[in-house]
Amino acid sequence: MSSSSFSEFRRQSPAGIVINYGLLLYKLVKSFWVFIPVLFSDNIENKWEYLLFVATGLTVLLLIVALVQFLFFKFKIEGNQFVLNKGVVFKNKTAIPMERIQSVNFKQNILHQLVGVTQVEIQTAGAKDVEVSIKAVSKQVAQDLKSELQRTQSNAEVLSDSEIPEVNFTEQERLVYALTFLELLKVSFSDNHLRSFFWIVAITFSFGYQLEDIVKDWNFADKLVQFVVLNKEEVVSSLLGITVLLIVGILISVVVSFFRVVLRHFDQKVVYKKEGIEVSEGLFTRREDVLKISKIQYIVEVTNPVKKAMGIGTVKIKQAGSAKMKQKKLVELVGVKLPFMQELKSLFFLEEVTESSSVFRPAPYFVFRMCLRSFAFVCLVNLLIYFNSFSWLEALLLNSILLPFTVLLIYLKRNKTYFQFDGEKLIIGDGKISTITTIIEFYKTQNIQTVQSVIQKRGGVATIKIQTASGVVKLPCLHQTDAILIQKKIIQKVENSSRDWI
Amino acid sequence: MVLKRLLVFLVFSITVLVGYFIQLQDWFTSLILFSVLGGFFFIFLGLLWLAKAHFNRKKFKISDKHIAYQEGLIFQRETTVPFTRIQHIEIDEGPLERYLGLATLSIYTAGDSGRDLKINGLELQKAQEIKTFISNFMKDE
Repeated sequence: MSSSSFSEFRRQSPAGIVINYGLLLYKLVKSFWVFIPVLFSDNIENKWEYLLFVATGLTVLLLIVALVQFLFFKFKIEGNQFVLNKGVVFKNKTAIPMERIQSVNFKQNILHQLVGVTQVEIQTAGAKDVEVSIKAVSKQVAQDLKSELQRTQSNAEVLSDSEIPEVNFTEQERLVYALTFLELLKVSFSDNHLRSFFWIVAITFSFGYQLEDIVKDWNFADKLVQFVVLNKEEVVSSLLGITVLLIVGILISVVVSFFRVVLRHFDQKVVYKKEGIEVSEGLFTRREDVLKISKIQYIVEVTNPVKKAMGIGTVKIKQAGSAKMKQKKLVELVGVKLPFMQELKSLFFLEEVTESSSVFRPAPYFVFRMCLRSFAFVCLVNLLIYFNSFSWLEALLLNSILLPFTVLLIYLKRNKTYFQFDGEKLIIGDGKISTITTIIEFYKTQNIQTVQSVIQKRGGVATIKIQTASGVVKLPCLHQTDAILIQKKIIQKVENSSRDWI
Repeated sequence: MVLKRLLVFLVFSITVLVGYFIQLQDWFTSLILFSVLGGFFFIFLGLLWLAKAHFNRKKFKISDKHIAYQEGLIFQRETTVPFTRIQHIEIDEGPLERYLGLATLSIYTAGDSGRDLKINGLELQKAQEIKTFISNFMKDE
């Protein structure tokens, strides 16, 4: 512990050279991958000598750049500021005052894990602020740096955490939730496969002809795909073919979803710590995020009938951060069991007596608009049917499936959309097959916007957009009178609330 | 007033131009030229009308606790920003604005849409007044 002092300028761990090198290589390949086949073309004489020359040249060059980057990357803590110097040609000096630091997160991708270092990311909030990431330090130094930053921060006593009671945060760390592999399987199985299926179909059809060339080269894999692509007309124009396609598509979608979920959420753990809730996850890239309760802007619960039957749900937690880090502000807990969901909610939102609970529903215009949009979609599908020369019977059959399904979706969406004020909270219901519930403490609103098209104005309908420090929450197609009421209520709350939004 | 003068000037200059062309060309070409010019003129009028309608929609309202701004012709928006959530206020003057003595007032909050409220075409004096008014309030907090 005593070895890590941050009062003097210090460099990253020497392994940072490797990380820099890896990053540079990745960037190079990413921007020039188009030219890679050119290198292997047969037109060049002495091909192998040439390749060797290029490879060595690049290796040495990148190594030098990585080394220089490493040498000129220095950081320290100076008084009430975190100071970072980097760059040779473009010198960059960054100083972040402690009170602006929102959170310090760790990240490890596969390269980091191999050389045994951690990336430290310092997040700040506000419109024009900077994000800082220190690419490679040892785990020990990372933790020291974090505690040092937090110590200086608490000395500065700028954050107004005092108003938020420290519920349940015991002195020792407590692991409250860990996702097992089996639960990961459940999660990926119960995802919305219909949506990903449509994507797969769209991609397959738009790249169909290019796929043909590739598919021809495969020896054994996916004979079925080969069949489908080569006999596209026959398959598509028969109803049986479509059914087979549907099943195969959904199977593919399950597999894709499985890989996505495992890559991102593998071994997801939630630990209660003194400074907040720590979430760590990921297979190749480990991410550690610390959620501060006061920083949370709103949460979104997602569940669907399959998930409900298995007793799990997803909780998306949106926290404040600067505009650049849109993705990183979202922490997604998948496969959360219902009791834990309740616990999280009571942790995030102060329990208060529900004295006033008024429910609003969207105007009939909402249904009208959905019908209009679905009608356009159905027309498009019928156009496709027309151009693919289906028989009348098949077209009729397809429509007799499609139409009731659309009507069902509209009906579900209508019934699931509501806006409810519950004390300090605004609860927004949404969803078609799945049920999406957004819970926002509405005094955290940054600004509020009412939007009406000319047609909506004539019909006395308005949409409200609530802008928070972590994205927009929409209340679509309210009765105008309700919209005015809601807007007034929220603005009054914001103006009279003494609690800070962060 | 400025608009009226502009219009008179336009009508005058177009008449002169058309007269010149009619004297130059045969009647058929001049007819086409005339209709094209007339078309342009009506488009110009339409655009002017649109600009005016757009302008008339723009209204702002300042209470002692929030500022609201209304704009938009087809999609009508009203944005309300409570003073307690304002991060900073900016006054910009572009070259044209400076020439006309106007300024743009931008109000930023921590919402991630960046600039949350932007009122352009304010007189510089007025913009500064609003800024000091809101800044004073923010200090009171």
